[in-house]
Amino acid sequence: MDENLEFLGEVFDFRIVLVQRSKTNWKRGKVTTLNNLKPGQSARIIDVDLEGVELQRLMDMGFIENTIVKMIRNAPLLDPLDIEVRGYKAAIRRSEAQHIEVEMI
Amino acid sequence: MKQQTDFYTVGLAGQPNVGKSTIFNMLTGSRQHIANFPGVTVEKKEGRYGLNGKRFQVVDLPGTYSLTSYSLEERVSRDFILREKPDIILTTVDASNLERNLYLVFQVMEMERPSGLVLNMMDVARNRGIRIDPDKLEKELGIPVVETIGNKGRGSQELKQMIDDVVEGRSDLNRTRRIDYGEMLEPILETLEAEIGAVTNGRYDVPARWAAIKLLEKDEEIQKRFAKLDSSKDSGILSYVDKTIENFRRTHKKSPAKIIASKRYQAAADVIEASVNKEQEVSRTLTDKIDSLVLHRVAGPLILLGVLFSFYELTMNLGTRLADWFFPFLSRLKEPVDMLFGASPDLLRDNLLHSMVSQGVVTGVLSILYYVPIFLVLFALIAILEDSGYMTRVAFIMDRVLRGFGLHGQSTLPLILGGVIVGGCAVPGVMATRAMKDEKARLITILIMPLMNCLAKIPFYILIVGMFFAANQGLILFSISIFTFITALLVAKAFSRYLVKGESAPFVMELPAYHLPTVGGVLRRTIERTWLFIKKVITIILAVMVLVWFFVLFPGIGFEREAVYDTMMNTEIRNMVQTAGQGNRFSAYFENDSLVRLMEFSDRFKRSRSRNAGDKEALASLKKDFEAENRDFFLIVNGGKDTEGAKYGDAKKAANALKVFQKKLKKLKRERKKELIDSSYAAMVGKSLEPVTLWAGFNWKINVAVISTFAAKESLVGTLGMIYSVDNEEGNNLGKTMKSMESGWTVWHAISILILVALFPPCLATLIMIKTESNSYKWAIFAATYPIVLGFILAAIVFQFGIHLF
Ligand SMILES: Nc1nc2c(ncn2[C@@H]2O[C@H](COP(=O)(O)OP(=O)(O)OP(=O)(O)O)[C@@H](O)[C@H]2O)c(=O)[nH]1
Ligand SMILES: [Mg+2]
Repeated sequence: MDENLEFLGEVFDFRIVLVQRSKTNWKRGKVTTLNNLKPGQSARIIDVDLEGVELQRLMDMGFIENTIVKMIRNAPLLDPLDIEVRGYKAAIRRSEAQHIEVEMI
Repeated sequence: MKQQTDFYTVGLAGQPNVGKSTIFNMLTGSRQHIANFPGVTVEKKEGRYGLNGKRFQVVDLPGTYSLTSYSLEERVSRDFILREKPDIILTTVDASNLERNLYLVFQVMEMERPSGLVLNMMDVARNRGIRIDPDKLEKELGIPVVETIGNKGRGSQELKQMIDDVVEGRSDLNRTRRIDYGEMLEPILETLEAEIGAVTNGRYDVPARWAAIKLLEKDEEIQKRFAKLDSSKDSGILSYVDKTIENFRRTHKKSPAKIIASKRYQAAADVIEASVNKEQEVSRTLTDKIDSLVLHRVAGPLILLGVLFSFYELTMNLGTRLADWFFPFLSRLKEPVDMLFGASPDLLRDNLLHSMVSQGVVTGVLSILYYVPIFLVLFALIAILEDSGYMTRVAFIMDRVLRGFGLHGQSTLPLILGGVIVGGCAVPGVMATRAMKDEKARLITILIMPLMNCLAKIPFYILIVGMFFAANQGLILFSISIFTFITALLVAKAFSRYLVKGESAPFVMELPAYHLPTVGGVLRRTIERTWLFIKKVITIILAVMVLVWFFVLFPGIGFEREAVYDTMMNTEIRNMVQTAGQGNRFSAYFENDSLVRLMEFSDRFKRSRSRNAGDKEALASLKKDFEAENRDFFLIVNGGKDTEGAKYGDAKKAANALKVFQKKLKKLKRERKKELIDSSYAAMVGKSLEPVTLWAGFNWKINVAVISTFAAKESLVGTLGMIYSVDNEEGNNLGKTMKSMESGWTVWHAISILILVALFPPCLATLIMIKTESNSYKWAIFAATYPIVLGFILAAIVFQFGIHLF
């Protein structure tokens, strides 16, 4: 591919993402991270902002783009979280949930 | 692997907790054996069964969510599939949780071995209103599907039939579904596949498409393999893959790994869409209801405390009671050994070989076997907690507390088994860390295990506390457990900060549905684990007990001193003859050989009498037997009376004389033994350490006791008894003797030694476990040394403060 074109594509892509994000902020659900959900709230995963093992582990457990998750409860000491994902329940620490970007539904 | 054409290998894969082991047992029955996968500590269960004249070897693989190279279990599973090339690989799935399970199924299918799907937990799925059409599922996946209810044994015949069909190539469905990774990835995969074929050139036998996918996922193990195959070229396949991934990320703003996982879930969703029908949405399952209580903010921790407390009570009370009840039967194992060697012709000294076998070997084995009933109870309770699903809830509740110290929610159970509260055992504790996925937290949990209060420390605590703090025993014991717990947490924190490398793995843990554990399942696991423990430990204990026996009894006291003891004994014999009186015909038995026999007869008589104490009839018939064996001996040992009640004056006199002699002989033996120990190798070491250990107030006797405990801490009180020359048979007055012989001891001596023992190095059995579980000698040696250094320094500080300030 032509280098200039690639560069343009990159910028363009970036814009679109920005526009989409701000749009969703307005019209669709609020964008936040998984750790901010309250018990009973559901959300759709937009992105998991991690790499390597950590990303792989989360993906293997079903935390991946476009998945619907539901916050069930906090642990008695508020951490970890009990999250329903793909029909089962997973315990996940707040520190990891922070890296999961979601859109409220 | 195939020796004959009719011998087939069946691999059992699946995600954790889907019932693989249950299916494994269903197939193989009791014909199974457990080993480790070569070179690693992951358990490998193998079993076999026959059908239609063919033999099938089944291998239970570890439960994994995926097949990456990030965890040992996953590597073991996929290496098995790649290298052993099973004739069929069965993936067991939880029918009530199909979506996430299929994610693994696709990965297994990509490894291109003949496959089958075991649709387990059909009962659970049905209860939740999930209707699965197995025929459609079969078509969608392109592999045969069998429905099972593992814990009820349902579906066994069908499954065996399916396996047979697949290995025979009779199943017409052997065209498996291939995931379409989409137009973004497929062209790249195609190019890579061709490239891989060229690079490996038959030297690395893997499915090319699978390898291509793994390379795009940046799988480290596959990268390493290709780096080896392709070392010559700088612009080789790996750099090509790197560049491709870079480009891909730039154009699509995503890593290929994310797309790959995404597509797998997409495929899973498609398959479910086509073959599963969720009739009625069950809004709140039983598991949900239980969880809202068990994980409740207030009730949850209370229930947890209750469960842990009853867990404890059951192991410690029931287990200990069983052990105490069982032990007398075990100790009789000693008798045949003693019988084999017969009575020592030397009244003063035991036969050397006899003493080694009896005091070294047999005592060592018995000291371990004593714990077996406790382990049975312990392992049964763990199995119940695990199978029911409560264990993960424990981790869920405790994680926040333990994480701060570099541990993990899953450390709770191992630490409790190790004896947080007082009374546990480090061996099952270390073993229980197996369930932990976070390698860093797991290693730290293993390393602090020695600081827990294992059962063997308890008799010693009670001894010292009884000597110095008799008034508030409970309080002191409680303080000890608090002290060790706090120390362990601080040590864990320090280790995680400065010593143990590596990032903690993310904590994502399934909270599985609750199951009612089955009796068979619990029993099976209990026995398996207990047996594994016994096998591992006993050989080691044997060797060490023999070593300790040697160090405590050698090099001996020399001929001169031995001669002195002989003279003293002969004097006592002469005294005995005199006491019996002139012309007493029974005195004839006080001569050399017959005295030995008489003493043996007397010991045997006393033993049998005390064993049958309380049972009059048994006692009477027992006396008859002894009388029949040797009437004269019997008259003496029975205090001058025969079984009819007739009295014999001379025999009575002889009896009294013998009693005095026996007491004197015992004293002589004890003095000799004390001298023996005083001049033993162990004492030499103990004495040479004294200059240092006196800082903490320990004299050489304590040092010797401490050294001897490396074999097994149970021996601590016993060794002290030996050193302080107290015979255990004469009741438990070791405390009194020690106090009278160590009149200079203060409370600070007591506290100091309590600290040392509380933070004592693990016994050998534990060290072996640490070695196998951490897979490193380095950590085992570290675990053996740091507690004693730490314990000694703390003890010395407290001691010096204590004696100088108060
Ligand atoms: N209701 C129900 N329970 C089952 C079924 N199959 C197995 N179980 C139970 O599920 C639990 C887990 O079974 P295991 O066989 O230990 O599972 P596993 O896959 O070997 O687990 P890991 O080895 O830990 O990965 C046990 O309590 C079994 O009794 C089934 O078909 N229905
Ligand atoms: Mg299993």
